[in-house]
Amino acid sequence: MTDQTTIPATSGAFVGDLQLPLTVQVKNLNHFFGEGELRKQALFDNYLEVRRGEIVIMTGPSGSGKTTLLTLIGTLRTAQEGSLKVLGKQLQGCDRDLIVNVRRELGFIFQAHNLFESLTAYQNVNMAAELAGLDPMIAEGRIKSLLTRLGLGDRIHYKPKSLSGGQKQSESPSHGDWSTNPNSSWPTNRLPHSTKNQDEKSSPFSKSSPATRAARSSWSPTTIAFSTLPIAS
Amino acid sequence: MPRLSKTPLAWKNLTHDWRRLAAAIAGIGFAVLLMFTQVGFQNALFDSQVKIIDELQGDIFLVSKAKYTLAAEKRFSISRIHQASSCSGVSGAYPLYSELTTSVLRKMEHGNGNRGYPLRSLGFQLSDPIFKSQDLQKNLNRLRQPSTALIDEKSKTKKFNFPRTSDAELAQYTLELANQKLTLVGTFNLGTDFAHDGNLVMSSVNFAKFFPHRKRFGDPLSVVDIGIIHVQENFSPEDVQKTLQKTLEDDVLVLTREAFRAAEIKFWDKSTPIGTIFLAGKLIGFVVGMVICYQVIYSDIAEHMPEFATLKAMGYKTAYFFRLIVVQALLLSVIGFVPATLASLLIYEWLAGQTGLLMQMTPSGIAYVFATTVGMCVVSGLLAVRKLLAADPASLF
Repeated sequence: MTDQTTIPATSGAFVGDLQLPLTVQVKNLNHFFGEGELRKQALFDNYLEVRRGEIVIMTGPSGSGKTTLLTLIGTLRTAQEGSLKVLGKQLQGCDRDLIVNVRRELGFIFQAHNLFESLTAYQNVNMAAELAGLDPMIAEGRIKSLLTRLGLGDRIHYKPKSLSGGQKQSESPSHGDWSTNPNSSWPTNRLPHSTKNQDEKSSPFSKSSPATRAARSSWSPTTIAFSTLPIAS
Repeated sequence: MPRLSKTPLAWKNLTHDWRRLAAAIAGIGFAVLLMFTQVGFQNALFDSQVKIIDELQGDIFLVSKAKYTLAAEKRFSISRIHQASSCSGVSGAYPLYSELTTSVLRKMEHGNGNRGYPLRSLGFQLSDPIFKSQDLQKNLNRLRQPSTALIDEKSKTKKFNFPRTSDAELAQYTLELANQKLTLVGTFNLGTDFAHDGNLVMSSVNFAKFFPHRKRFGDPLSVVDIGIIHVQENFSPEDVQKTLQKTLEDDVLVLTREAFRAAEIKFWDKSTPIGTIFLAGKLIGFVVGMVICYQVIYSDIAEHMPEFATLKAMGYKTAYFFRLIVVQALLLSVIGFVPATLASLLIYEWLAGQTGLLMQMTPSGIAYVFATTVGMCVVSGLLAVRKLLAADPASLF
């Protein structure tokens, strides 16, 4: 890990022939939904390699399996057939503990904000800090500076109900991106997920989107973004 | 200041929506109330049945071997009392007479018809130490007059509608007991039970006059319902009980206070359907509570499923959700239990006033219902959380 930290945060396109470690390695991956007669294949023999620092944008028509692949990589779904390695760990057929460990290394930006209505913005983000086992004093400073950077500085102790839609969108990545390694900067790997029902402003690909801002502010993430929108927009 | 405790998610989720919380409290409270009513009635029944034992003085009691419950009119010969009084360790043995089936009280009043109500008449020699009650001791002198009795102020008001505060007014009533004129000269306090709607106490002289047919040929006072034995101070009741058992013929049972009480409760619990009925009542309360609790916790989890799935996707372990739900169930059971217990206290008071039964909130009753409530909430919480524990996060959004 130590030598990797010297690599600049750029897209994979700029690193040329440098042998960067593979962050995501998908081989021969099949996935099915349903059981028995209703069993339907969603992924057919998928291959994908994503290197550290790359930003991958995947588009496709509705029902083509983007979300299925994304959720498999994001460990939100159990891999069925084929090989799926994330951060060097084989997820197909692995045990729960390994999955939990991989999950703690990943950030996932959801379409919906999924914040607890009963907790304040601060407490919602703190759920992630507690999971990372951060010292409460350090966590407090980090949460405050993060929420301030995302434009929520004056709303730290507000509940989601009193935040605007965009503000909730801003908060959710901070909810998702905590590294378990206290020495590293927090956002490590993130998987933003967007569909066409989001406006341009909150799309993860726009300059002002939370995912883009978070990606720019940190040093070396691997980002995979999925959309049904043409990128040209 | 560093925060030592973690985000209290269980508490926050529970108290976030006060309407939902109120519904949950009402639901669980209802189940608690249901169980308390059952427990209360059962205890009241058993306590009321043995109230007379608790009111009697004495350490050892003699009853006929055939007497399976206090209400059964099985008697034994007074000679057992005489034999017992000469036993070593016995300081005194006294007879208590009781009559139920022929002890019918009738109010002779214009327009009242001829309707009579049975109640229990207790007779004893006024000089004998029978009852513990100090109030009763004070009024004993009044019972020396012929055809007099004291009436239990807890006798059922519907059937025995007498003024309970004024002795003078009480004496004005024209009454018949077992077809003989009776004058009530005051009240005492004993309480009703499931077999007895009211009580009278009188001297054994009057008792013999009212119920001359207790024994077919002979002295009505020669058959005894309960023998009351006082043990000398330096003897243990258990030892004296053993001695009496050896000395007396086996047509009488020699029982210590505890054994007497236990035998009476056992009769009502096991030999009547009452124990089973109350068990069924408690079970129904438990099941109803579990269904309500399951609904409350399940809908709470279902509503927060995307959030929980997010926590799961972030790397929270199964054990965290397990703990979360157990804590939530515990909190729910406590905040449902407290108001329901207070409400039960009011209901107990009301029921006691209505029925004359001893409705008491005992520590063991509270512990029993609380343990059941906690079990009910935790079990239904664990049933409700199964889906969250087993599923992939992606299938939970």
